[in-house]
Amino acid sequence: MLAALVLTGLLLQVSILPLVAGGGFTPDLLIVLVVVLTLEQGPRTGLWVAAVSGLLADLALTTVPLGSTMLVQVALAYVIGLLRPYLSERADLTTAVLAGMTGVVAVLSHGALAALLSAQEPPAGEVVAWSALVVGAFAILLAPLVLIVVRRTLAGTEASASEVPA
Amino acid sequence: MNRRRVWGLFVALVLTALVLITIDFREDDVVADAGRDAASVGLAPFERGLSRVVSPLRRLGVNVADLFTTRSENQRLRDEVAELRERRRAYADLERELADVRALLGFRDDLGLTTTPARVIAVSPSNFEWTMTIDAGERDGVVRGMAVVEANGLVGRVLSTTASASRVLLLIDPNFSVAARSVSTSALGLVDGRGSDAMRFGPLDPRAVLAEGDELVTATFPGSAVPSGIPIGRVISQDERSSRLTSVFRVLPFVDAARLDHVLVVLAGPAPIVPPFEDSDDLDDGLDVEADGDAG
Repeated sequence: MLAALVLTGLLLQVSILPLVAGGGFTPDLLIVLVVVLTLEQGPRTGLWVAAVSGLLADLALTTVPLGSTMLVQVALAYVIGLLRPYLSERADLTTAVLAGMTGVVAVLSHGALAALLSAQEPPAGEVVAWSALVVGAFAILLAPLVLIVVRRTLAGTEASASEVPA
Repeated sequence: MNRRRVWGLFVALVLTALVLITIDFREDDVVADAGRDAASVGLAPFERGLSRVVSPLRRLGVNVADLFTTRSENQRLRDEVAELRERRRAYADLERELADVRALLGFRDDLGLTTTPARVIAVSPSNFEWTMTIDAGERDGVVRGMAVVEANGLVGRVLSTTASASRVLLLIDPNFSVAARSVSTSALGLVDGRGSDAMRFGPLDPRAVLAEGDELVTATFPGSAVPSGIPIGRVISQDERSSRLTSVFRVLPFVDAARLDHVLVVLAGPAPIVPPFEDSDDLDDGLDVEADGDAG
């Protein structure tokens, strides 16, 4: 079920979300998914989801070095996993704020990686800063929706698993 | 224990990512290209399907965005048109003013006058008095009796002054009178204002004959502050009151008193072509010597 969530998230990321781009900046659904799944399912699941979705995103995009999105998402998933014990359960507002902050840090990390790794001229600092703010705002808005979808999907999976006779 | 596992997994994934980045940086990057090709092939059907579902939404989004931008664009263009119209009006006004000032300066240079510029700031509201107020006064060197001109010719004469303004009696006022000369016949006479009626020109020589269209200019006479040669007006007809002893002509002034804006106050006329006689000290000395010689 997690694979379906990740794949759906990736497809939405490359097809629909560019339509709602604000000021030329596309929302980052995958990082929101990573945050939500790390908080809901634990750091291990979060790390796997971060790695797989990051790798798929890198494969779907040709302009970023392969593995860079994966590296950023894995690092952020680990940090969120470390924070998880200190956060109260089902604190939706906290999740949304954390998703927003993670979105900002993810864009800044991508900008830093691009400056370090790209042979071409890196994006301007102002562009990166604006992108980080817009993506962070989008992440705050997307987090409640992603939370609802993830909880319902995982609840359905757990219910069907519990119905299977031992 | 769980923490160590998580740490181990994290390190492994980070290393994997770093290895992938390293591989991707190699020039003969077959693995990364193959992976990207595979992802492209694998995702393509899903992307196509979603694109079909999403394309009406995309068009709707674009149309809605266009609607908003069209409205705002329309408003922006309306504002711009209004601003340009306003600018065009201001520009036309400035252009007219510039033409006036240029003509005025050309007129001054042609006649070799020493002048000070002034703007008309008020016009007499009375129907029986044709005066105006200008923004040049004693501070600018203006004194009573000085001629006021504009590009077409004589405007009037300074009636009274304050430090920063002056009142000008217009040439059409019934109290205005100036010595004039016919350009074609050189007939001398006086031009008088008649208010809203045409001015009158009375030649000193009653036998003088002037034709319609003859132009009159100012003539100089001792004590007058009005320099010679300033255009006054054009003869339009002979007055019915002319007789054997007197002839009077109706004159239309060149200056439109209702459309005055920039004027010049004539501080001094042109320098005389023939310099005035000077007292010769040598001649006096010579005479003295002769007188002494006679005495001797």
